[in-house]
Amino acid sequence: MFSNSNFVIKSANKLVVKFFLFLFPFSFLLLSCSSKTKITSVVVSHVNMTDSISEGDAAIASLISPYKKELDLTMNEVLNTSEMAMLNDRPEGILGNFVADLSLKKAHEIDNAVDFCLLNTGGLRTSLPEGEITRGKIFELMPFENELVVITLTGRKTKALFDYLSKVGGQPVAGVKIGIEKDRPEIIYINKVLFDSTKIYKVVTTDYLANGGDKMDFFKEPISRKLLNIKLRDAIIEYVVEEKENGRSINAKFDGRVYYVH
Amino acid sequence: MNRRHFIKQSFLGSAGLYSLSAFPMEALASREIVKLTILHTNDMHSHIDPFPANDPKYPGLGGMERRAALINKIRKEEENLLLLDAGDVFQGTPYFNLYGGELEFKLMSKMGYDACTIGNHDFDNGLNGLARMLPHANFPFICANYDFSDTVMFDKTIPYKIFEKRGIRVGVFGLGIELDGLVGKKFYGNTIYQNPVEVSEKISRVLKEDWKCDLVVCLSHLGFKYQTKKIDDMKLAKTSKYIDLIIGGHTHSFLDEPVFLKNKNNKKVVINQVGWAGLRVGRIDFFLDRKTKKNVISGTGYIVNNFVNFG
Repeated sequence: MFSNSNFVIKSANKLVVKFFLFLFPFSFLLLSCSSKTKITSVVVSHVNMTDSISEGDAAIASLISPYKKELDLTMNEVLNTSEMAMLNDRPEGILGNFVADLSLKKAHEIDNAVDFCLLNTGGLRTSLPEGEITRGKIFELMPFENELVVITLTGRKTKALFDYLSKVGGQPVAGVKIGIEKDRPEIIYINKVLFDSTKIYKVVTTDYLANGGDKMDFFKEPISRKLLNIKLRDAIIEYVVEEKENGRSINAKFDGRVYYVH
Repeated sequence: MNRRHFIKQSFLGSAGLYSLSAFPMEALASREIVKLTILHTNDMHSHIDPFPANDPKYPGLGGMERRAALINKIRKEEENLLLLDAGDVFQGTPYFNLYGGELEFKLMSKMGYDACTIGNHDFDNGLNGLARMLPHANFPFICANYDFSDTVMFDKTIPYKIFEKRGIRVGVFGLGIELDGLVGKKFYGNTIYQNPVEVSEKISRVLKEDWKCDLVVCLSHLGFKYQTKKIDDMKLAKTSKYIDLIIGGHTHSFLDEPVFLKNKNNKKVVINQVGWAGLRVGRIDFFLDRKTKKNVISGTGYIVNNFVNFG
């Protein structure tokens, strides 16, 4: 493997540094030498391990096994197939579009007056693969017990919502189109109609966010608040299953609903 | 075999650069120098199985069986080892939804974890949900800045623990993130979040000066770095006086190499964090010379996959 070697490397600011590469095979090396107060230099070398551990630990495997068997009974059920991999992104992500669109659709089944949907990227906990989508995968995407809730906001608070959305660089939304200039909203459409701060708006979101999660303080003290009595995870599962029953696989697309104007 | 070199100059002494070729290999052999290996994980989020082969981001990576095999292998090689976790063990796969964290704690116990701190998602089934799972863990939960005295978690965590390895005393304390705005009030109940900077200043001083720890390690679930004023590991390191190593979590940061900073007293602090979901295991080796008080640090990371390799 690597024997003791001295390297002379020219660093960015042209100092000639004499390094000593320490020799643990398989480790990237990061070496610093310090007395109580003095550290002279640090060298990091990054080495790929060729040594293979393809076998797991048997004792651990046998501990997992009974849990996994029971879990697989329900979680391995294939609910539908996805035409594409769906991932989080900002300001707009295909995964966020997918979940926000179906959440708005589910909300409309209960209350047709809901204007738009706002969720949070941080709450969508994994990516969806192209191909088979299992129940377990939806649990990983939305592991929380969060429920859908409709919040009625004043125009002023709705504006604060879009200010927040712009400042954080986008969150999953449906039913809106927003152009951001740097970190502020410049143009906002809600259902294809320009935003009007004298109107009130109904937003579907999760109870976690409605309670001020992710610093969404504009949801505090709303005009009204109505639980839809459905968990977001169950809404996703219902939608995915319904699409399958209607002979459709699932998909989503970018449509420029959150964009930077310049 | 690929190899990458990183050069850090943030710790250049005022007198210039010193060659390290004088590193006393003979001293290591003659046992004047103690090697302490710290392995660490964070934000495993109930990822017990590897990601499936069709995962768009992490196909086939992770998994507790292979992590255990890797840890066992290192245990055979290293005499003085600590295995630590920086919180958010819970939440992220159906294992948590179905079993509430029981299997996660059982597996960590079997792997020989020495300690774990508490992350925000460890509150996801409420204080009762966490307290109910503790009997499945044979390691301590270390957190110094959550006051649980008015909750069911009272007396179930400790602020710090001192580990002794061949005469080297390692003080480990834990810090949790602000809960308001992150965790629902109904879940964290009467837990009181205390200022992590104040708490850590006090505890780290006690560990270093009163309890004579050679190394002070902070298990932090504060997060690596924020643009805002919110406290993070970077800010904590800079304002600290006695912390040697911060093992971080929460922000799921994949640091390709540990970060070295200088603390308030111009001494070095190391920060490391290894992403999430058990995709990587972090490794920091400290070489402590008991006679000269010098120490040398070596860091390693492992990606948990078929070729437990390094990326």
